Amino acid sequence: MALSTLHSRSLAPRGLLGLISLALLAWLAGAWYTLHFSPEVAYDRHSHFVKMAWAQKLDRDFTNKIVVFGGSSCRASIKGEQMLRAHGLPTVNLGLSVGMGPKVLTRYAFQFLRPGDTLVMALEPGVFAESMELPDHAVQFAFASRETALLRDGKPMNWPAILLDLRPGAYHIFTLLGKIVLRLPAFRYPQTDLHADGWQEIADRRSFVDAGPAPAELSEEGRAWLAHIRDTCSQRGVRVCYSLPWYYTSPSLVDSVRRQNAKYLLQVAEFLPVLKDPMLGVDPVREHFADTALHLNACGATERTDQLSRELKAWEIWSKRELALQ
Amino acid sequence: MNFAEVRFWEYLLVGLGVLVIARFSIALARPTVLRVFDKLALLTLGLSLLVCMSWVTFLIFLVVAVGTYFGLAWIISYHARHASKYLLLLIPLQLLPLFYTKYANFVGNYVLGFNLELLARVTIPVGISFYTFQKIAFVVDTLAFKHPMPRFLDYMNFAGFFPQIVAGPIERRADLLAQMEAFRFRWLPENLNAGASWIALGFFFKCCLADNLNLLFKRSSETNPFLVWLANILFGLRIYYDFAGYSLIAVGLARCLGIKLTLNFLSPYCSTSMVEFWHRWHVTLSQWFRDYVYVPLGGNRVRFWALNIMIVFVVSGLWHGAGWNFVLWGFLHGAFLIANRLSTRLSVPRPIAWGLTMVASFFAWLCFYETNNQALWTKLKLLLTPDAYRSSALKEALASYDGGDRFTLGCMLILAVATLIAEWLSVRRRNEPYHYLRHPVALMILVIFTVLLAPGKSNGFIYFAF
Repeated sequence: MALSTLHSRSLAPRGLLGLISLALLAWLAGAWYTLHFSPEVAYDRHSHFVKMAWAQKLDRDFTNKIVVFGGSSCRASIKGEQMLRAHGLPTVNLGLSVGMGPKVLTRYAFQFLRPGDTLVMALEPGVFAESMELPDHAVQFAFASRETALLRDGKPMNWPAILLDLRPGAYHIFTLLGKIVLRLPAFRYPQTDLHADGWQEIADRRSFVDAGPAPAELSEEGRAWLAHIRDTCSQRGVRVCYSLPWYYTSPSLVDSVRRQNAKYLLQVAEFLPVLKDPMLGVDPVREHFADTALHLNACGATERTDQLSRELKAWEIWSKRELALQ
Repeated sequence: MNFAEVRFWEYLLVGLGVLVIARFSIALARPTVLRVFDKLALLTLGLSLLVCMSWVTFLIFLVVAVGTYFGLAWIISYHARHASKYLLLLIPLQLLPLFYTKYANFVGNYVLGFNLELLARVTIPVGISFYTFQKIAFVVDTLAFKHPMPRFLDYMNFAGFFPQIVAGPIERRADLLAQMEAFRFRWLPENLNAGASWIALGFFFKCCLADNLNLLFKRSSETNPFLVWLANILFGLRIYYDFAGYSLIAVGLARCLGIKLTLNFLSPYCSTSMVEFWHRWHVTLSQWFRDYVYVPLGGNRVRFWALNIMIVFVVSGLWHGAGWNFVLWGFLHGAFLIANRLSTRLSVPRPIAWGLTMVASFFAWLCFYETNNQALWTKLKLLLTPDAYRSSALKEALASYDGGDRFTLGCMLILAVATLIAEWLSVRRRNEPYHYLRHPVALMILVIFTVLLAPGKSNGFIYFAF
C-alpha cells in the first residue's frame, strides 16, 4: 500500500503529517540522547565543570592567571597544578576536543579571561589550515554545558541548522554499537582521568604512527581568526602567545619536521608572539606518549609543563628571523 | 536549490506562506484571476528561489530562457518554412552560455594550451547543463511536431519549474508543458502524501546513504588495487544515492504541487546488462541523447551504429564535465554498450550478467572521480594488473581504516546493500522501482534512519557540478 492511497479520503494529508511528526520525534530522541548520554559529550561537559571550578579557584586566590587552551593534545599535556606548585604560575588547562573547532575553543577560553591574564594558545596546527565551519560536536557541547553563547559568530544564528546538529550521526551510532558488541567501554577515556587542574592523565597505551608536520599554508579563515584573537586580547588587556603542541615524530624525521613546523610558526608569528620552544613541536621519545602521537602521557606532560613554564617565566619569544633560519 | 540545506526549506516555506495568504486575499476579492495568479505565483516562487541561490545563476537562466522563447517565436513567425536552417542558428546560441562557462577553460587552456587565467576563473552556473538541454528539446519538439507556441507564462513555468531546474529531470514539452498550462495550487491530500513519500525516500538516499558514504570515501591509494576498488564502489554508491536522492526529492516536491515529473532513476544497480543500466540510470538524459543525438545520427539502423554509440557516450562524458577523464568515462561506457550489443546472442545466467554489469560500471566510476590524468592512468593500469592483487595488499587495505571507521564502513555498506535488495525486489516482483521502500512502514524506518544517521554537515549534490 502506497502512502498516497493511505487515508486518501481524508481532507488532511495524514501521510505527510505523520512523517513530519515522526521526524520530529526522532530528532527529539536523538537530541535527548546526545545531550544526556553521548559519552564524548558527557566527557567534555564534565571537563567543563572541572576546569571552571579550577579557574574560579585561581580567580579567588590570585590576581592574574594563565589560561592554556587547545584540543585534546593540550588537555593531555599541561599540568596546571605543577605549574603552580613548581613554578608559581597559577594556570588552568582549558583543553577540550579539537573536534569543536578553533572558534568555539577560543571563545570558550575567552570566557575565563580577566584583564592582566595570559592566554596561551596551544591549538593543534591543522585547525588553521582547514574549514572553520561550526562542527556538530561544538554545538552538542555548547547545548550540553548550557553555553550556547559559544556558538554566536556575530552573524544571525541559523537556529534550525544548529538544532539539527544535535543528532548523533552514523559514525557515533555505529561505533557505539561496535563497542557494545565487542564489550568495550563506550568512550576511551574515563572521567576519572581528569585532574582538578584540567589536565587529563591518559593511562591507555596504543600503537601509533607519526603525526606529521604542521600545515604548509594557513587558510585565509585561519589568518583572520588569528588576527581576531590578537585584537580581542589587546582590547581586553590580556597577554597572548602561541605554543606549538608536542607531537611524536620518528627520530629520523625530526629535522625535516622541525623545519616545516618553523615555517608554520613563521606564519603564526605574523599575528601572535610564539613561545621559544626549542622542541618546535617535535618529541622523538615514544615513551612520552600515551594512545596517539598527539597525546602525551604523565611523563611527557611533566616535561612539556616544565618547558612551557620556563618559557612563560622568561617570556622567550621566537623572532621571525630565528624562525626563518630554522 | 540545494534540497539538503535547511535554508532552502526556510525560503520555500516562507514563499509558500506568502503566496497562500495572497491567494486567499485574491480569492475573496477577484476569484476570476486566480488561474493566472497561480501560474504567476509559481513562476515568482521559482525565480525568487533561484535569486536566493545566486544572482549570476538567475541572470544566465533568464537570458537562456527568454532568448529561447523569443528566438523560437521569431522562427515560427517569420521563417517557418526554413525552420531547420534557423534551428542551426538558434541551438548554438542556446549552447553558447553553456560552452563558455563549462568548456572554455578546458578547450582554451587544456586542449589549445592558451593558459588564460581569465578562463580558469569562470564558474559554472548551477543547473546550466540541465536547463539548456531542456530548452533545446523544447525548440526541436516544437518545430519538429509543429506544436503551437505556448503562452509566455506557461513556457517560463515549464522552463523554470524550481524542483527540477538545477539538476533535472530534463523534462520534455509533451510531459511538463501541458501540466503547466493546467497548473493550479490545489494542495490535494493524495498529492501531498505521495510527494512526502518521495521526499522522505530522497532524503534517506541523499543525507543518510550518500553523505555518510562520502565521509568514508578515500581516493589516495595508487598502489593498492583493493583500495581503488573500494573507492570505486563507495563512489558508485554515493553518486547514485546522491543524484537519485535529489531527483526523488524533486519528484516529491513537484508532486506536492500536483505536477508529475519523470523518475530519473529506476534502480540502475539491478541491471543485468549495460543496455539496461542506461535505461535505468539518469533516464531523462539518456532519452535526450537518444532522441536528439543518436537518432539524428542514424541510430542503430545504419552500418556504423557502433560509431554512433561511441559519439553519444563521448559527448555524454563531456556533458558531465570538461576533462579527459570524463571523455574516457564516456568512451568506456560506449565500448561496454557496443560489446553488450554484439553479445546479445550469448546466453549468460542472470547473476553472472548482473555481476559483469556491476564490475563494468564500478570500474568506469574511477574515470568519474579521478580528475588527475596521471593518477587515473596509474590506477587503471593497477586495476588491470593481476599481480597487484596480493594478500598483503588486501591486509593493507583492511588496515587502512581504523577500528571505528571500519565498523562504520561495514554498517553503511550493509545499509546500502539492503536498500539495493529492496530496490531489486521492487523491480522483480512489482516492476516498480522503489515500491517496497515507499511502503508506509519502510518509510517510517527510513525517516528515523535519516534523522539519526545523517551526518551534521551535508555535502552539496554532486550533479550541481555538472
